[in-house]
Amino acid sequence: MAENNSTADSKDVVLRSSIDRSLRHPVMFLFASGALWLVLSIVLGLVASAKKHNPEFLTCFSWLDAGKVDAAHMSAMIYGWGLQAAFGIIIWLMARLSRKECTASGIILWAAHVWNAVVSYGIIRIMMGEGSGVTYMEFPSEVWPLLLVCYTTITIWSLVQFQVRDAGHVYVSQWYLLAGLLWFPWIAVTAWVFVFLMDGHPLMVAGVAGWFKGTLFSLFFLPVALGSAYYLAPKVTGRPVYSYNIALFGFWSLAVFGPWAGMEKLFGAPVPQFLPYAGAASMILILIPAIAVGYNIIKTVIGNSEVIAESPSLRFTAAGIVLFVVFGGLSVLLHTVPALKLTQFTYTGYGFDVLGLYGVFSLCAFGAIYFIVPRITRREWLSRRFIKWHFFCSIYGISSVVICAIAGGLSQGQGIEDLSQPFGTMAERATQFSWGVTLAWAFILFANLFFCLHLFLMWARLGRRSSHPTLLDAHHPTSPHGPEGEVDNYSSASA
Amino acid sequence: MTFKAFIIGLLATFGIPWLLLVVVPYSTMRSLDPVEYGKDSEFTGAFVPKRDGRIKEGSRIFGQEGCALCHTQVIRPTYAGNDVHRGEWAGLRKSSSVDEDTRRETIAQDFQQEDVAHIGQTRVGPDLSNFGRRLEHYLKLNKSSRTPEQWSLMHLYNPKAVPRYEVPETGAQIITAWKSACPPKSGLFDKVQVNGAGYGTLPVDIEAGMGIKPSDRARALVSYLLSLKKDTLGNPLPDALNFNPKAPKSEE
Amino acid sequence: MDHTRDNPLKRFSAFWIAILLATSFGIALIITQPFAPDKTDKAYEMVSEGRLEIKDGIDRAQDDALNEAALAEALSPS
Repeated sequence: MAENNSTADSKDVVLRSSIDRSLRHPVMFLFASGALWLVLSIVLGLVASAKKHNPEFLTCFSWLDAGKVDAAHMSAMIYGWGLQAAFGIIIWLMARLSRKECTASGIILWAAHVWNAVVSYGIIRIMMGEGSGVTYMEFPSEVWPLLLVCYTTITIWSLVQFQVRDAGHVYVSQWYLLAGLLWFPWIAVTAWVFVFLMDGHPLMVAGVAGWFKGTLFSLFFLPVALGSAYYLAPKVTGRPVYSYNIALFGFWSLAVFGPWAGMEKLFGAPVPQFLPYAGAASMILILIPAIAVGYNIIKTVIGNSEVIAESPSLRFTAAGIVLFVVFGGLSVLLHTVPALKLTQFTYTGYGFDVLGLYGVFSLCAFGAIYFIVPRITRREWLSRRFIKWHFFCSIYGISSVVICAIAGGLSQGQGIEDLSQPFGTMAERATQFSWGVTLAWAFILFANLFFCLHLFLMWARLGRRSSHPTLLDAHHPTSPHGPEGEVDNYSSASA
Repeated sequence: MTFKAFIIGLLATFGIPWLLLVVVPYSTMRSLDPVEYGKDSEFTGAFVPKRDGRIKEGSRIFGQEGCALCHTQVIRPTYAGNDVHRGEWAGLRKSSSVDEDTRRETIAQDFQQEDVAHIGQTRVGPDLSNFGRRLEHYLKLNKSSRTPEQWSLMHLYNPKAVPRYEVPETGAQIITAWKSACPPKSGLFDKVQVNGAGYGTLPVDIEAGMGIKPSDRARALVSYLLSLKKDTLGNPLPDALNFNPKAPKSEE
Repeated sequence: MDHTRDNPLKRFSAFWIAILLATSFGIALIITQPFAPDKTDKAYEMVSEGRLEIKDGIDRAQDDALNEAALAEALSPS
């Protein structure tokens, strides 16, 4: 806890900057390679979406055949971008919150390189047509244990740091990150064993793969995003989290409802009926943690609208949390039995998944990256314009993907349930909406090309040498991050 | 909240769904007792559905090529969807050319011999549970000169080049004007040198002296697709699994 | 730095506790799954009863039809 004493404060600043220095290389590498994978995955997503309305697009390249390119797109987004961004956030946040320097930077950096190599190998195998053939777990079977080993090598140190932290208050973010760190190996090992190692009933293999995909979002990406939001909201506004109790309630409700998610993908299939119903129920109940977290974070930052407008980190984070509440509400609407009947095999599922992965997780991750990178590179972001374009094009793009996919899905579903129409009607409707999805991905690509460029410039230490942070509004007289000369706002570090 | 309390809470909140949703159902489904034919049935012993064709290999290729992302393979019960009533997805409907209604919902045994059930993600294209049955029926009805294998290979190579068949509720046979949105799977075909017409090549004109030959993967995939006959004619169902009361009991 | 909470021994034990926690469900699977019921071959075995009956019948019929004397004569060198 910071005392209002200048020696204690300056010692704290020294500790913080040594933590940042110890983590500089692994975290920057993870963020930069993640950003590159993000751009690549969006390009693949564009190709995949284009093939839905222009089937002859790029047929000359057999490695871009439809089906394979969809799988490559999602796998690149999840394992290339999502997990690496999450790693960077986890190791930096846990080090800062536990106030421990990282002693394993070299090992983490190596493991991050191996991670990239393994993911590249997996994506290439998918595009060669040699994936596993299991929907939602398309990497070939040998990739998964390699990923798990890399994962452990990267994140075990954060678990150690937490256990050897100084006695005192445990921040909400630490509970979320700790949980996410443990949940991922639990679901990944289980899924790998049941899908690839053991010889099970084909329907249950499909079910477990669906469960893995569902819990990957609810039990890994979501906790990391929320952990980051619970850190940034009080940090940037300088106010404590509105209610620690609501925060704990939100956490435990996610812990209770989250693990049941995923099997709703098997609705209507000849599996024990309670499985898809449990999955659908869990997705409906996700509204509860969404409201708890949304209420808590909004109440923490409310009244500070200038800060939200100016600080890139807070703006992205707030947008991510708002979208989480939207996600929760949509989840309730889309997982009731009539809605499932209508939308199960339509684009709605894809739009909803993208809302979670990009709208909630990625926006919160961008917020964290915009906060963390200046601190570890000791430079400020170069261009306010790049950040604005990144933000607005992302918001526009994600809203379009979600609206087109969900509205398109409802229209598709209605077309297929209407028995007086031939199948061609439904297929035609789907094609029209896929144009919207392609255009939306183009916007998101534009946004992230600038993000990637900006991040690489910072990595090359070409950022602005200034302790005044880059804000989105140039005309504000004082910085919300604290007086000039300090990169950090340590005097309101309590959460 | 202490670390210990946290860990116990996490283990409990994760462990219970892990057990109830994943471990126990997985073990139970592995140990399903085979269903036996009833006493009045003309068949004895256990119901062990067999499919011809290269099921395991073709099923894996179906997944690897990502077909499951655009095609489903499940006929849902009516509380979950209208699939049973949609065209010939669930089987052949009774009509002037078909004596008995052979439609049925998917059962758990339908995915035997496959590594993973390709339930499917979206229906950009039609459901394929009865693709083999449907294709044979339509080609015969329309007196097509193509065999089902030829139609399927041409569809994979250039979906817009083969006619699409569809049967809305009225039972009429039409070829719809809307062309397939299925993207061509060029990776499954090789361009080879041919002499004259070329043996085993597709009937497409490219440059002189060259032909398009399906690869082994294409053949295995087509073999699997043509084995998809999950209606009451394919394998005689025991009464316990037969939810279609009008279905015939065997293939005549 | 608070030496009662952060020392090499504590870090060592924290590392192994973390490994144990992360692999806990994997270990649970290794312990329980070999004992999980597996009737994946049961259908094959049930169907094989009928098949083996037929095979027995064929074997018996072939044994009966085999003319040992004629066979021995045909095989003897002459």
